[in-house]
Parts: sequence; structure tokens; C-alpha cells
Amino acid sequence: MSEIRVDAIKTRAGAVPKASDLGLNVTGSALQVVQGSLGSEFSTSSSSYVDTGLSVSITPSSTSNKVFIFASLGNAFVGKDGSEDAQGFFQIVRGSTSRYEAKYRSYDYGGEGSFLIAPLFMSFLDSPSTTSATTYKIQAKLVAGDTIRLAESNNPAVIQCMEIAG
Amino acid sequence: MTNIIKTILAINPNAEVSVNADDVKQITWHNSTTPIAEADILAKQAELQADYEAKEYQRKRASEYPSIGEQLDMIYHAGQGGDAFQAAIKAVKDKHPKG
Repeated sequence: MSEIRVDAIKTRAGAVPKASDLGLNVTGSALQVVQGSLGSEFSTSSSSYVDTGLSVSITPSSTSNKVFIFASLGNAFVGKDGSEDAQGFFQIVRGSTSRYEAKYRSYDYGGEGSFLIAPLFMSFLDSPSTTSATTYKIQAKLVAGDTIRLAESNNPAVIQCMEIAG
Repeated sequence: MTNIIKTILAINPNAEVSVNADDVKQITWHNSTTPIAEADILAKQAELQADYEAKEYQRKRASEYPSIGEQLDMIYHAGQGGDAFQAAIKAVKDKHPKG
């Protein structure tokens, strides 16, 4: 058995090397984490998807790496006064491409109207195949009811992106 | 306080609109919805709020009334339900007597 003992390893340029610079297999390792947040309530009655203001940008270091997106929508809300169900959707979008869609629905059991207020968590493992700055954002739309909201009553909503070595 | 988007929907139930931070100055109108003037929104909001506050007694009463079932039971035991009501309740009680 042999040992190599050194005080420091640096790149030719003098920088502190990453594990991948040393030829180590880092597949599956988290390389960076970024977070965006929305601290004030966003509400909409739009029947088509609109930006909610919750977004984050990440720049992958390799086209083969993946990006794990996790969003916690504070308290999400969908509701309708009166006597009907309410239903809407949230989606994770990369640029302008939908990557994951979640239905959010309340059920009018007693004819007095309905609402649902609860945390909503969304996640998706994406392969953006780019080393350019990439923006992930949350959009919302309403298909039945009065409004759909996130960060309801200013409970903060967050979105996090984690770059995973591919 | 009645929020901005509920106020807008009270003026135009078909409005497609987004509101940030419940701020009347941060409104986005969607899908050809005709914008409503800020002053009109604030006036309607004040009207809805006044209506809400005027009905506070209703909300207090509703939270303190006995359940509807308890109220009906009181009417039956007081013999004040009318002939058909009293007979219908008695028939069920007779069918399922206390053990």
C-alpha cells in the first residue's frame, strides 16, 4: 500500500480544483443549490397560465448535468363563493416550456362554496442540456372558481434548484 | 379588508386578472379583460367592507346558535312543530325506542 501526502492540490491556473477537475466520479452529487422566493401573495383569475413572480435562475456547469426543482407554494389557495367547486393548476416552467403540472382543487360539499388552503409541494428532475443561465418559474391558471393564489396571506413561497452531476 | 381581486370580481365576475401583494397598483389584466379604474376598485372595496362590517352581528349569531339538529329537537320537545312535524318525528322515535 502506498500513500500520497500533499499540503494542497491546485489547478494549473492556481485555483482550488473541483472533484471533477481531479477526474473523480461525481455522478449524482449536488453541485450547487439556488433559491428564489415570493413573500407577498399572488392571486389570479386568469384562465390561461400567467407568471406568479416565483422564479429562480441556475447556470449548469455541464450539459450532461440534471437540475432538480423543488417548489413549496407557501399556502396555496383555490376557492369559490357560492355553490361550485374550484379548480386551478400550477406548473413548473423552464423558460417557456412546461415541465410539470399540478392540479389544485376544492370540492363544494354542502352548496355553500368551497376553498382549499394548504401547502403545495411540487418537484421535477429536469435535463436542461445547457450551460446557459436557465430560469425556472411557477405559473398558475384558474379553470373554475374565483381565484387561485400562492403565498396566501403572505406566507412565503419558495423554489429551489439543485444541480446534480450527470 | 376585502381583498383587491375579490373586489374586482364583484364588479366584473368574468374578469381575468392577477394581483400582486393585494396592491391596487399591481394589477395585470388578462385575456382582453377591460381594466377597471383604480378609484372604482377602491370605492367598491370600501362598499364591500362596509357591508361586511354591517353583518358582524350575523356572523356572531351564526357561531353561537345551537346546531340545526338541536334547534329542531327543541321544537319537537316543546310540541311546537305542527301536527305533521310532530307525527313524523314521533313515528321515528317509536320505531327505534331507547333500549
